[in-house]
Amino acid sequence: MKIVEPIDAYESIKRSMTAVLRWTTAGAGMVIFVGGVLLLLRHRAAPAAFHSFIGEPDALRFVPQIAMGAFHGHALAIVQLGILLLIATPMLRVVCVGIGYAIERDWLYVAVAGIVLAVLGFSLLSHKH
Amino acid sequence: MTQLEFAALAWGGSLAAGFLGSLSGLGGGVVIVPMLVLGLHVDVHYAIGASLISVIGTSAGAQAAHRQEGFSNTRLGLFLEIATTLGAICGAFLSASTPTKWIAILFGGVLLYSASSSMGSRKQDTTGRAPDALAAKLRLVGSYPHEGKLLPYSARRVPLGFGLMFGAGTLSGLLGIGSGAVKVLVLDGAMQIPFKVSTATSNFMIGVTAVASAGVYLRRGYINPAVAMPVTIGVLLGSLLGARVLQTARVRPMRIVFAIVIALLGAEMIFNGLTGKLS
Repeated sequence: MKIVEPIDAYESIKRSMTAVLRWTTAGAGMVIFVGGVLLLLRHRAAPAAFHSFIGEPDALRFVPQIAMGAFHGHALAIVQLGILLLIATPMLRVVCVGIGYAIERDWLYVAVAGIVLAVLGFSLLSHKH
Repeated sequence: MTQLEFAALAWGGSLAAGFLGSLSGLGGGVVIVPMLVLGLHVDVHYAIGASLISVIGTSAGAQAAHRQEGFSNTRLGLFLEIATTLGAICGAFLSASTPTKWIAILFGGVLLYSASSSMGSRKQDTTGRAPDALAAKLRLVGSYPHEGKLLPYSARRVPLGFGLMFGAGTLSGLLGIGSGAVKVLVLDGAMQIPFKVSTATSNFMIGVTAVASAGVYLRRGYINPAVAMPVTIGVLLGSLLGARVLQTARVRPMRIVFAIVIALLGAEMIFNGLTGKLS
């Protein structure tokens, strides 16, 4: 019977985490690119007016509305969905690091990762203005 | 200007910024805002939002491209991320109430500092001392290879470093930059972490810090997908290309050229801020 060394398990988890992060990043880039191509195909001749700040509409500001818009094929919402995926990548990274520390039984740093995630969650999901 | 023309110009400028930023080690984020604001007349809040997203993209891309973390100290980075993320949220909230004029002047100051810090050379010998009590308790120690030997190091002045990192995060959230130069200054200068470990750890922290303020920017409607799209794709491609070339090119002349560009942009931001052209 083969005894699995804990260090091997840790290494293999680390490797699969790197792969997950790589695919998330590549996926986010692809979604932004596809949305961008659609946007320029449909609105290439529209005037670009970004010199005064109006504020994006709700459809491009909150996660459920963005997902809904992207599902319906709106180009701007697809780009915004890609941006959301990109924002999720570093969060996923903190989760992975936290899991790594849990495997090492370093509870102090599992807690540190938890605090960082809580701050990021507050930033993305709180509804105060 | 049409959408297509805007996207092409923003994409080209961001590609160059990402390329030079990666070659010089200064990051592309620092020139995105001046390029959009001064060159393409984009509102400063949209520019900051797009720049933040490109910072997250570059950081994620760099980490996906490199197989290993290099010399970065994950515990140190994660611990200090508590300070940078809180600071970043604070900076993002401040950004809304700070007049454009002051953002431009502060931005100019940061650009001038980045340019001057990239020119100096680093001296350091902080290894081999007995660890700091608090740093030892938090396990903020490590070792790194230097001339064939593993040299141990320990973080110092942890509360000071933590406080200064809050400031670095605030700057990042307020201006939409990675503020890598400031993070390295805190790690290397205040906490006396070896330079190579400082730069690698700072790279690790940049993405997470930017996410904390990006959330606030998104909910406030500062992230315009039509602006962020060409910028993010351009910076990402440019920095990956830069990382490729870095292995063969001579870095020193590139650094000088980019430092001069950054200093000029800094002077122009301050000038425009003072004369009220950006408000």
